[in-house]
Amino acid sequence: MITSKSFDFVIIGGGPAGQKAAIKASKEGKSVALIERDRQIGGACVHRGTIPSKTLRESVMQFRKAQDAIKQMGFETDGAVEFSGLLPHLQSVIQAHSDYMFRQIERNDITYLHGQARFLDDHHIEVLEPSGKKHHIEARFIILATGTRPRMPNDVPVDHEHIYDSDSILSMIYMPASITVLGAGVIATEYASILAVLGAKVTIIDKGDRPLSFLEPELSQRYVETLERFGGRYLGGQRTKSVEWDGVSSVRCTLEDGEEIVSEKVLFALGRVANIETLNLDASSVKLTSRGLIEVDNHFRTGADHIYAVGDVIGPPALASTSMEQGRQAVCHALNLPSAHLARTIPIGIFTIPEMASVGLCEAAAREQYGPVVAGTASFDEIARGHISGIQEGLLKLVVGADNGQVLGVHIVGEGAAELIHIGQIAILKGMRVDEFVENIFNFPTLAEAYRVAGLSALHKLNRRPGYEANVATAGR
Amino acid sequence: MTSLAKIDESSTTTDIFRQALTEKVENHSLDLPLLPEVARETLAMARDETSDASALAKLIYRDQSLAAHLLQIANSAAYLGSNKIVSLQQAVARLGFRVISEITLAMVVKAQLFNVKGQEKTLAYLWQHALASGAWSREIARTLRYNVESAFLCGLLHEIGKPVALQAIIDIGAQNDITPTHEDFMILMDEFHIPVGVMLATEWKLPEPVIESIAHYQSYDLATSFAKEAMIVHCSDAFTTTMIRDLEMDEEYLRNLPAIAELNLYPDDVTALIEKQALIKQTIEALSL
Repeated sequence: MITSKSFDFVIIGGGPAGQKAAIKASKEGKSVALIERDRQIGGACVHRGTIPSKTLRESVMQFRKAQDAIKQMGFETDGAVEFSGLLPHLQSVIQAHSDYMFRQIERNDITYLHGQARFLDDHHIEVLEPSGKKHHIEARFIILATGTRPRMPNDVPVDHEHIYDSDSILSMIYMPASITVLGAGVIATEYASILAVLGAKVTIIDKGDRPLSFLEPELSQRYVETLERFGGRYLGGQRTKSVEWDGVSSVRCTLEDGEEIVSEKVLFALGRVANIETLNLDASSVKLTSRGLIEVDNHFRTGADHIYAVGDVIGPPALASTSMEQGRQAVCHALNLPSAHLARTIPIGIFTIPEMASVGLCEAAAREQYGPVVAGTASFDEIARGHISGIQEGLLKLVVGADNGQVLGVHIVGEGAAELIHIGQIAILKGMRVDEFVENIFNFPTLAEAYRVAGLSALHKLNRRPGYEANVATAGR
Repeated sequence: MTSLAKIDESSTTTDIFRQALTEKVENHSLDLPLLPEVARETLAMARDETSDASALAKLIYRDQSLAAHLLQIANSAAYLGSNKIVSLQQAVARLGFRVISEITLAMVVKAQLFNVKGQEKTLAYLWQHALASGAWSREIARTLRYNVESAFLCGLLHEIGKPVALQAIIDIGAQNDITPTHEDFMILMDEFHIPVGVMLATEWKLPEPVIESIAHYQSYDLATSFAKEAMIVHCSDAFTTTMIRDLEMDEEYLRNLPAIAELNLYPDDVTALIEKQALIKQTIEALSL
């Protein structure tokens, strides 16, 4: 039997973007239906991506800290950890987060529909439940927030048993002795570092000369150094010719230069694709980009004025933080509510071991955009807090305009980087000069002191540049 | 000897066997077959990350029949890689610890449990069902991208209690001079295979997901841990039943299983799974040796 109902807003996809859109619309007094294909809301962020990988990382870091503490007290430890032992905590975190979101949906009186959504036309959606039961829904506004999933390559036989993708890697129930990671983006490097610290022999293969090539070279370098210290290696500038499971026990990756990398498991983490196949977009006015993402304007409108798309399904930056804001802004636009423009300065946090974060421009981009720049750095081993907390391996780099000392970029590697970056974010947003890091007082001993040390380093270089003081004075110092 | 004194005159033979089996289960006095040493050690080695391949090869050599069968299976279509496997060392190196332990356990279970004189036809069916359930479990888990590695054993062993219950019925009958009917076997195996299977799996120290799947594959909503594994096995059991029973697999029946919806498998997923029938049959053929 097909049931039918009408809503002001129909949100398709219950990840961060869809969820925030649904809540905003509901808070504005609109009737809202949230359709989610999975049994639980939260999307890839909660169930297969951000939350699981960060939780796993946190468990690994706690394990390492405990190990270090035991060693500091003069005891011996074998250093082994059962991978399966980390999973119950992971499940409990996911469940807690998912439950919290369900309560939020209920509290806001949002109608939750579990099923697969399909356009009948620009205003009508069919929802197919796993049982085969169908609902028809009429919508005044539709917001697409269906997210992405790992790309399934034609030439790599991902079977989720020997060759995993970034979703199924979480179902691995034991630590493999060795794993080859194909790709050197955020997801690839995060899992690679976690698995290396847990004892797997990790090999990362990627066409780029260095992993996370969008980051400052110093950060990538620190990442590779840490990976190598845990027995891993990065094979840059390489492409795989073939990836084959030998049919029984190991996977052989043959590189274009003929080298063969044999490992127990492979993680394929090269690219994601938009979840659009089952939407029947042909029945709507929604258009796709050449990359298979949903095309939107500056207000997240698709080809139809009342259909919006937000989150990963529209492409970069594909961060949970921005997706949430996109969802909220789409609703504001639909209802003609005032809304600020999406912030142009978005911080990136990468939860590798060591943690990395970045905001603003990297040195090369800043030079290209603003002309001469200087960089100031602070190594965490120069910071008292770094010694106290055993975080000596970090680095903070400030990129500063050479003419006026304005902070243009902040790049951090080391524990706490993703938190520490927000100081830099505010500095950039407020157009602050590097002098202000030097002149202001930070709590001691804290890692934030690295801003002051890096500021001093930058200022030292600036002061040696002819005319700097005069420029700053003209700018109203 | 089992006491049948409390049975009154109106009792059927099924009632008589039921009471005796109930007592044996409740008193933990059921004769459980021992897990052969070679299988126990193989399983232990597979779980131990420090084990080495040569030690596993030596262990399997202790049982020549097992070694021969293992080579046969390693060279079958389902497992054969690019080269023919000619030695046990090569088989261990190529197949890896997990596959070796999986095959070893399957063979040991077959030899130890599915071998009751006079019951060959019933046991042959049960063995086919076990193998197919293992293979279907693996494919369902693959579709879900969830614990593919442990799924085969969960499916393979979910009705391990049936042959043990069957042997117990024969033993009770022999002790009390009563011949069980085919109906007695069918009814009582269905009734008792879960508690008996759990007892055996616990005694054999099988992995926890396997024990939980045996205990809860029929009532997965009661599972407190490994509920998803139990649901997968529940579905694999249904896939197996329709594959063996029907000329064409009953897609409608499978789509409407509540566990299919619980696992978030949509109608298209079920269709795609059914298309893997040939692959399942190949696995059964390989392990039926």
